[in-house]
Amino acid sequence: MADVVLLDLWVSPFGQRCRIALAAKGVAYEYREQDLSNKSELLLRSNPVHRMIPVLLHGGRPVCESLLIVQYIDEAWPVAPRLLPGDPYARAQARFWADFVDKKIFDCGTRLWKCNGAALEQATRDMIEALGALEAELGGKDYFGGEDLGFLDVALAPFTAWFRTYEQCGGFAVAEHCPGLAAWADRCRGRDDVASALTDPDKVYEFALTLKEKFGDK
Amino acid sequence: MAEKGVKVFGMWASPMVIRVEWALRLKGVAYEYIDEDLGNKSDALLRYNPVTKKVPVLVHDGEPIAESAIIVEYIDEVWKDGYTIMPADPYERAQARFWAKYADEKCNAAIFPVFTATGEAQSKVVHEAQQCLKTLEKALEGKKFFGGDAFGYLDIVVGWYAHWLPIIEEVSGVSIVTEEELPLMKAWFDQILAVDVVKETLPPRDNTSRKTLIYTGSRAQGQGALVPVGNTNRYQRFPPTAGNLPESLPRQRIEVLGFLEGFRDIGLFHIASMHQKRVWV
Repeated sequence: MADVVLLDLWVSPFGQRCRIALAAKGVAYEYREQDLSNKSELLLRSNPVHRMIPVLLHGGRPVCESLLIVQYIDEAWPVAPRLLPGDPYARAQARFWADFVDKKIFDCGTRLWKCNGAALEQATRDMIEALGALEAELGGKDYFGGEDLGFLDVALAPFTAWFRTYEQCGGFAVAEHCPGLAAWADRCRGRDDVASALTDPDKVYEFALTLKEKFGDK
Repeated sequence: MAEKGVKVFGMWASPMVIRVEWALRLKGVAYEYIDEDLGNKSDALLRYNPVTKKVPVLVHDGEPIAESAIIVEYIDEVWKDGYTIMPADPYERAQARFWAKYADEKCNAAIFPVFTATGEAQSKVVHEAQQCLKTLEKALEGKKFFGGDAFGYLDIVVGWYAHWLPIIEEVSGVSIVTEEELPLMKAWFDQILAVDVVKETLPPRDNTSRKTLIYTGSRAQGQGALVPVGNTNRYQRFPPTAGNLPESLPRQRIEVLGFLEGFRDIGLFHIASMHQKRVWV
């Protein structure tokens, strides 16, 4: 087994966070696509608590939970770019907003493909509000991390591949409500380390439609 | 003139807030504590934490930080020459953060239904709570504290169990953390309760029980809060609503742990079922 292995799923934005961080740091790793309908022995052994991807294996030792993996990558490979800034206050803010992405963006996003009617309308409103809060946090900077990719950029960037899906489901345009965020999304996608990790937005939308078919509210 | 010093916005019964106090006290940092009425949040709190509006919020030289686990890491990083809270090794740090997240997301969600379930359903939720805690307990194996020999980050995050779980057990009439089921956790409770900063800050057990503010997390039920009636030993519903609960209830029957901010958001405390079980029996 390679020294660094990532157990992942092609379309997972959580897995993509890890791929971006590894690419940004220039860390060579082995990518192992997982079949979540038939979980591998390695996955079950490496993440017995949640049995979920992503899992990073470094020297055989597993690290789970995408934001924790990204912090681990930043700490274990303390080379540029430093994803978490040096200043403790800035670090706390980055962690707070990354946690916000987990709690709000993913939740609203799920409701956008899953729900119909009034619930869908609420999900749309909630998503626009959440993106607005992130737009304010970006505040005209090139990246949340300042001049280069930081922790919050890595946390949010994979969800930009889902913007088209959110827009289609919710009937709104990110660029209209959050032009700064839309520009940031383009900037991220222009980088190799991000672009190589993200799924094509059309494929994401196709995938979301299959999720809706299987799990959506009827 | 820039604001100087450390403030903690909290709520006296909140275990999330107490984490912040433990971390500050371990570092020997003086702070001003501001108790919030969560039913009537102060302008200051809403200004410092407009995004989630929750406690705790740490304000350091005028700059606010929210989310208790994040605040604890901040405290460790700012006052880095003091007591060491986080492990030094990146892998150990990842493990500690993993278990903190597991406890906050899974264990807490498994524990609170213990309050609201009755009969058959209650033994099922107790079992589920025990399963969650047994998983967490693995991180204690061979150690005195989660942090090893010394009280550390994960102890700070879950240490509140040592005080609050026995109260929850007493009030709900169940046993969760026992010698047979969770021996390591039970032993760890004793270690936690002997830690100086813990002893200094925990509300006396009697006080936690009696000085109650009961928020019904079940917004759909619209039950409202139970608040003390002046200096009497009785509680009344506020706002008063129709329903089959008396307007005023004897204190001794409401010896439940009142409020825990996070739990409100996951919809706990169905007062009606609690009362059927405990008040009129």
